[in-house]
Amino acid sequence: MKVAINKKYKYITLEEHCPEDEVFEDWVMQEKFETHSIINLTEDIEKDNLRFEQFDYDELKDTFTFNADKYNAYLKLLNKPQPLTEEEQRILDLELAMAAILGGGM
Amino acid sequence: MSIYKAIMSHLFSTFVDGMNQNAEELESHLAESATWIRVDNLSAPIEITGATMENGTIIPLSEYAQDGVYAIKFKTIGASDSRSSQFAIIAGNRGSSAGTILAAANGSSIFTCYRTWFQDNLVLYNAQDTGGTTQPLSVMGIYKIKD
Repeated sequence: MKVAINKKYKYITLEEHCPEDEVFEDWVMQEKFETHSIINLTEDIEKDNLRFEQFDYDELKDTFTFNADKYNAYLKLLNKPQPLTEEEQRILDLELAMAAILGGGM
Repeated sequence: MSIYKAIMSHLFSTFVDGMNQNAEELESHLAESATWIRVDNLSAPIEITGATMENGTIIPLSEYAQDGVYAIKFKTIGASDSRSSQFAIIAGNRGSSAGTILAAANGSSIFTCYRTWFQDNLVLYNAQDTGGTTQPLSVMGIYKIKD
């Protein structure tokens, strides 16, 4: 899987973003896009969970490398249960109260 | 463009016909002056989730007009439905320091997003729903609607 890095505006471009009648490398490296470079990644990485922040920049070499630890940390964050919103908590409280009323009446 | 001008001696039917003629002329004129030109230089959607005033997401533009009208195409990240993209319309208004964009996400919640300009580029930040929760959003493109 190829991923193009835009260092200036801090985003990535996947092959799926390339128009059908274009060659990805040629298209994404056009001057107007100001793309920095293209990186090859293994196919087991989920493209939908890739983020610009998961690539480390080496100033001396002027290159980007994929940081698997940052990618895995992002996946972990996505799978972390989110706290209930105020509205969700209110509905849950109402449901519990209703269950208690119904339970008490039986 | 031929414009009808009413005078007191005209019959009511003449007046109505004239007004209808003017409406058609105006509609035609607006259609001719409207555009739909992509003006961003993005090669992929760019994420604005968590962007702040100090560290806003910069959208590079190929052209910009002070008096122009633009459409911003947003997409909710993670939404499997491709129809989840939404448009928000903004005026150029480069003279103002910042402005608020109001749009809908996923067709159910409303979010606001601040915008300003930096070196002829659009800067977006603080995309939040009405409850103050940060919205996971990307910008897919900017279109010029009118010069």
